[in-house]
Amino acid sequence: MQFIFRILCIFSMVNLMLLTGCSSGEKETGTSRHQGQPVVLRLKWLVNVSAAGEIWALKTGIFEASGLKVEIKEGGLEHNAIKDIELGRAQFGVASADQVIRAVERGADIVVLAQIFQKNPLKWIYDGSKLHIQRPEDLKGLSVGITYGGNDEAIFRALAAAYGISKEDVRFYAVRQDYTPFWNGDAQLWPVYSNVEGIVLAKKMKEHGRMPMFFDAEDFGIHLVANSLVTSRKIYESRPELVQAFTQAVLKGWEQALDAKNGQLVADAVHEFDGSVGVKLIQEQLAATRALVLSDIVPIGTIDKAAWRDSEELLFRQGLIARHVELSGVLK
Amino acid sequence: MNGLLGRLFQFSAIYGCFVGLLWLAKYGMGFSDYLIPSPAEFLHVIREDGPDYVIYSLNTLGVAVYGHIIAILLASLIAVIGSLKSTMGVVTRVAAYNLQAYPIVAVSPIIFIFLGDGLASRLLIASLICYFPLLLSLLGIFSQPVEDVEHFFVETGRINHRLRLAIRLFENLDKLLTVLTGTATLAMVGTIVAEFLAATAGIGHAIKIALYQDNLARILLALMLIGICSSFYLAVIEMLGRIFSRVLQKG
Amino acid sequence: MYLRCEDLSYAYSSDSPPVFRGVNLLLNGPGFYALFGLSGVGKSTLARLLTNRYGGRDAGMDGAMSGKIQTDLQTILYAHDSERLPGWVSIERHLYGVVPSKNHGLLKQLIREYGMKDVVQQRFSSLSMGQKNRVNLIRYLLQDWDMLITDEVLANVDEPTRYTILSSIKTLFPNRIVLYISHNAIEVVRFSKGIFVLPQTFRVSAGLIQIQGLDQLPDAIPDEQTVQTRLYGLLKAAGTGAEAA
Repeated sequence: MQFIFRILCIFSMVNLMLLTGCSSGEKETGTSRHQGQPVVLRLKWLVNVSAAGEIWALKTGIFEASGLKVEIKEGGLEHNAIKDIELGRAQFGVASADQVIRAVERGADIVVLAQIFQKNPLKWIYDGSKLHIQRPEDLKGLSVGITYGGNDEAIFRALAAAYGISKEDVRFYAVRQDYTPFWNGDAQLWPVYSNVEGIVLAKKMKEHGRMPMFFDAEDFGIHLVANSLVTSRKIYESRPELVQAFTQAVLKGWEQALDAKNGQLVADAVHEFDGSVGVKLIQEQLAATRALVLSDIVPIGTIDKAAWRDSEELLFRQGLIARHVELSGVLK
Repeated sequence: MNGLLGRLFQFSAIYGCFVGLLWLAKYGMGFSDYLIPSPAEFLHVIREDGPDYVIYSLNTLGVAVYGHIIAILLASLIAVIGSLKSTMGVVTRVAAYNLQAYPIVAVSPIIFIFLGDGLASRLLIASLICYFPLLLSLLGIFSQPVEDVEHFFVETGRINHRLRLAIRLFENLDKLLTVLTGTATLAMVGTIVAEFLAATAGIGHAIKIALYQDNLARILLALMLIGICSSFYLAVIEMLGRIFSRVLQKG
Repeated sequence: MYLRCEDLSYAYSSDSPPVFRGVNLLLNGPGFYALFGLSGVGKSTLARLLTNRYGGRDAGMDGAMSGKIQTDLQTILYAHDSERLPGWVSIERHLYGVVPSKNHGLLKQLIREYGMKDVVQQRFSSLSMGQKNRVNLIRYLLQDWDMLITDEVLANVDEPTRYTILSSIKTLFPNRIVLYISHNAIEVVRFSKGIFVLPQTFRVSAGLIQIQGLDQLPDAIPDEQTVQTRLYGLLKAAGTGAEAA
């Protein structure tokens, strides 16, 4: 009897340990193996090629060489980098301009360290064999997918306002997780991150004899800055060496990740973290990401202050912020 | 009426404590309005978005009620078939127990593909989420003999499936009412989940937008209205249950 | 008109001890019989077994039975004291629904004689325990049966009313078999034609003890001395398994 009791106790303890181990929180993307200053980086979204620089820096020891022990965590609707920074759960995060500006408007004390994406990857994909969209006015009469409350809604409404497209001119289609409405033609334009699911969708369209094309609002002067590196003002001011080391490591990671000669290795590294996408596809995504992150004019990570001002103006005009936000102290 | 007031009071007390703790944390730990909205911002949101959100909540409540009714009818039908001793009954029971293992969130993409993201999908998802607990309860009720009442009809050869079900249903009215009340909450949850996943109306849709916009004040408002609507619906079901029970028992 | 059990044994499962064993019983011809015994000796089990075997219905008797039961009776009904009427209709509506129309006149009479006239409009749940017993018995009595086994069906009824009811059963159904199960030894002795005592199994190895009852009728009431003597014999048989001298 005592033996059975002991077995039951051991079984319960093992179970408890397994359960606590499994339920300790959300998925960790990766951690440096060696010692260094512990740092948590919260991504904006799930791990994919949009975090290639950070993954590469982690994988190749750039963080370690900078004296950092970095843990990368996935982001999402419920895992907001700025909130995590304020709560002290992360020291750095990746956030888009709309998130930063909204947070600053409501008193979050954060600073932007670098702008990873020089161009917003958010575009609308459509079948070029059926539609000919040269300018925003061509959108009239079409059904356009938008994510209510999302970036794409703000961008599209700003575009519509700028080009005199009224609510009656387009039919909005609520975007959800699957592409069925786009495939069956209910929505003729569908918002995608052109460097991630845009590549996948374009490939499938080609397989089905369609001609994938992207409509980019940025080409028509609508700017909403995407992924940028952020931290709290407190960390920025109290630990400048950490901030500098981390920022440089991330940018170095991105520089190397987008170097064509590293393409295969970077794709392997990203694939290691996100096994759901094949290496070949990641390489194609990486090529598309290169055009969004690198610029011929400015160095990698440069904060495009004019684009940030445009973003702030866009949010204000869309009523997504109640008052203008002073960004000069926020953008470093 | 007392039931409604009681439920509203219970909800208000819990909600008040919850929001109070949030604000205690906010001011105790110096969090920004971005992380936790201030009372002033919350009041502002109530003033600005309150009327729209009330409409969204009522919309959700309407769908939840219809979804709940569909679920009750569906579960009753399946439970009646499942309570048969024939092969059909056995197959239905096995299928019902197995199907409940599938989370609706996983099945929902298939629903959206076939029904789109309109009312039909919301209704179906709301129904399915509260259908399984209802079905299990009804199957339990229908398959549990009430020997004290059924004995006479068995002895005299008068028993039939319909009479057996009527006896078991009547004898378990209280249990059934508890299940109905419990699944009413699930119907609300199901509708909100459906709206959150893919819909362009209802409070779940509003919560999704608020989440995209990092607007916790709106989410707090939505939670308050969901609570009020749920309390109202539960109180109505309890009241109807009491009236129904009284009519049956008193004649 | 008979019912015979030969060497009847029953256990709830094949590996549990028998509830009773070696039971031999003969109900020969119509009349009021009784099955008597202390609590837990297996009276209800035996009664259900008789109904189950010959009623062709499942009375939940899924244990291990051995022995033979033979009868020429068509319908054996078993009524017990825990039974309830459906709660969604009045008693009157239920009774008129389940009693064959040819017996509606008798139904009216029994409602009156058993003191139920003032409560038949009510629901079953609002009755007293004794009223519940009576209304349950009425609906059984007015079915078409050859033998009715009544298991403590008057357990909560007061003594004078019980006597009235037992007398009326004997008067109204003289050509049928009633097997009356009760813990009330005096009324068992008084009203029964034959009494079958199921003794406690740990004292007695097997079987039933048969005792002659006094078969009391309204116009033939036995003297108190006879009742006391028969009562002593009954209780002795039930307690020790010994037959009275």
